[in-house]
Amino acid sequence: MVGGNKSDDCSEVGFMKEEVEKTGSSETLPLARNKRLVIKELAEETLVYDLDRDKAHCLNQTAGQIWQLCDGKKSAGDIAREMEARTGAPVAEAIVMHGIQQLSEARLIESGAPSANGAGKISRRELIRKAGLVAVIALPAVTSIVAPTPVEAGASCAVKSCSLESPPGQPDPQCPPGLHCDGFCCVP
Amino acid sequence: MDKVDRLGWTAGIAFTSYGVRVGVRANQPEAIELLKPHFPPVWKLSTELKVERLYSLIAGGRGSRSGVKRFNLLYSDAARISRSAALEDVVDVFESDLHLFVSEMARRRVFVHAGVVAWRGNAIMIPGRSFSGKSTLVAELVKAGATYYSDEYAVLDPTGRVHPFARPLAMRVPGSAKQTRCDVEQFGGRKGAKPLPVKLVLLSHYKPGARWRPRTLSAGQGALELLNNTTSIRRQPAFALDAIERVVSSAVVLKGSRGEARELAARVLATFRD
Repeated sequence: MVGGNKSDDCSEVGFMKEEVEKTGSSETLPLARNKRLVIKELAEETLVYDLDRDKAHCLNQTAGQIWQLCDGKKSAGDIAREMEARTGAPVAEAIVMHGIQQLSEARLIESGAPSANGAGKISRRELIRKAGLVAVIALPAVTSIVAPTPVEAGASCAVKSCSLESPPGQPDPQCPPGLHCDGFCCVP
Repeated sequence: MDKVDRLGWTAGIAFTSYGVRVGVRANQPEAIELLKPHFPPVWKLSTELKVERLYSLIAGGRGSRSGVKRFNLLYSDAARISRSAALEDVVDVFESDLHLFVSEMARRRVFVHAGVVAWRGNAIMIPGRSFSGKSTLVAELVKAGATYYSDEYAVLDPTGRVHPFARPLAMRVPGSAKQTRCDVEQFGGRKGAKPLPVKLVLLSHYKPGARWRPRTLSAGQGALELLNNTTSIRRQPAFALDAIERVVSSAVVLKGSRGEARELAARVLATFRD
């Protein structure tokens, strides 16, 4: 696919009302990957370019903080407490686990991430449902794209371009009948 | 030696554009003159014998027997990239391949696939793939008083300022993939020359009847959108990220569907003052 998928909205904000049940092992000691990455700190976000996979990621502030604190010595609970100390607001361990999960899916965690088979995983929707929606910090969000090749970046669509927001593979009102949007172009 | 190198070449030229060395050779001297207007807007002759990309054009024309027409052939290094009876088709392929190559290999410049105009001393950048209505919006902005910088690439320097890449505007013939070229002067526009800071990035997509109600993207999201249109991102990610970070740190990034380009152009210029 040209470009890539957007996994989430970088600025989406969710709020915690109460302590969420622990969803992952407190024994995991996540370690942030730091090799073969280009990192740019923006005012409230972190941009990361993965040189091995040619992917660019945008970490919102919460995801960026979690990533920074993944030093291989702290558990998710330790990270949550550290973030509480920094922000002065309660941070549920489940939020940290969710952040680590997202960072791991983006291959930004070297080790100590929740297992890929789903044990200890919690979806964003589930997290919001369990936690309720009232207070304090933004849910961690990692938005990713596949860096385009030169041809893709400079490409012309043969028929018609379409918006990034259209779900790939779905019929799209922006495209002529019989074509769907692959994220950038209307294709058969 | 490649087969193409053994053919008879009667004319050749070497030039540099944004630090990229390019050679062009042809079987007829007139063919080189025909290609020159399709070089990138900034280029100068070079005496370098070694180039990074060599284009070879075999102009066809009439064959030795009556009623026989030879194809026009274009090679990029040893690979044939175009074969057509219509020379203009081959020239279009030459321009698009050459511009793409220069955009990827350029030294100390980052090329983002985007239209650019200037307004009140700042640049407005309109990233997007072809057929997104980029050139139409650029043309309307120029007609409304903005200064033309580019309808193809935003050329960023390391400080995030945008430089002109002012080739003639490519306008599509409605209902066709064909483009016609026109100089902005033809409709009263003018071309810019100075590098400018980017203050507004417009990610708009044409949707008939849509009202322009954009959302403002965060700097990080805006950067991803720009990276997604950056031709050299895989080749020099650190350098590209630097330039793009400068852009999104000081520019407002708006994204949304738009209706007619003329309405949006007027609205943008009316509201975008400083």
